[in-house]
Amino acid sequence: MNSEIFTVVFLIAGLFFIVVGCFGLYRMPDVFCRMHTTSKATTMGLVLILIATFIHLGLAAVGLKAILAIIFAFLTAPVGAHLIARAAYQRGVKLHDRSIADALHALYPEKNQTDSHRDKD
Amino acid sequence: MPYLMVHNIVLAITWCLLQEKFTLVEFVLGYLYGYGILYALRTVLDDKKDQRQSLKSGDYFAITARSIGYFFVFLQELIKANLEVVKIVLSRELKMTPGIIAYKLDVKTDAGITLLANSITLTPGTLSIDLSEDRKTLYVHALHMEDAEELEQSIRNSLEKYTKEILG
Repeated sequence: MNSEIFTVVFLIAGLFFIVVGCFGLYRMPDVFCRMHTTSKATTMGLVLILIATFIHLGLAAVGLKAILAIIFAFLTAPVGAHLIARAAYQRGVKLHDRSIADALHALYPEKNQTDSHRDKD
Repeated sequence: MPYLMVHNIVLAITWCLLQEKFTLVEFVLGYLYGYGILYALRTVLDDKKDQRQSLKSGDYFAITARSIGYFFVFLQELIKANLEVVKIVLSRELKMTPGIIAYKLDVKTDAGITLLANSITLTPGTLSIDLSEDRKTLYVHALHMEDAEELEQSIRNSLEKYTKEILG
């Protein structure tokens, strides 16, 4: 009974973070800011849901796979976000107008950021 | 890999054999018991005459303790990051000053840089974007750039310090 309460609490918290992540994807002004919400909030949401799975199933084989999935989520989600942001920058996606610094411009000086393929957002 | 880790795994497998159960739970239990035994015997394990041993037993225990410490720091930062994302996304008006800063790395090894870059992505308001060719500068996208110095210092004092202790 007690474990069921914890399961439900973790599930709801996980869903909340995933919803926030998706909402952030819609609200954020540019690709880089969007990667912030997706990489953090959805990882947290996924991990909370997996913790709920683990609490519900206990130390059975399936429950332990949930732990394994948590580890892989932590390892892969930031790499994905990093690669999308890096690819976007190298293709010449513009930073949002409100951005106040761009130290990376020195590394790719040939990217003329004014006439680039800007994604319409 | 520290040589004591091999000892520890052998002890864990022995534990599984004695229990006649080869499950992950038994292995983890055996590993924990083995860790306790090795820790109790730590003064005996170091051969003082053998200078070739690159790693003393103390390093293994120190690295393990630091890894656990790192895990908790990381967890704390992760929760903070998520609360901040929730605050930003659900606020009525987006108040942000995003930008990219160049962060000078102290960590030297590839594994250390990978761990630090991953941790930076999962901590408040920062996202690692690129690494320079010479592996000395990490380019970090930040949501709040009001104080670039402070941001750099906060990474240097918490995450990088712990990363350096574990993976150099």
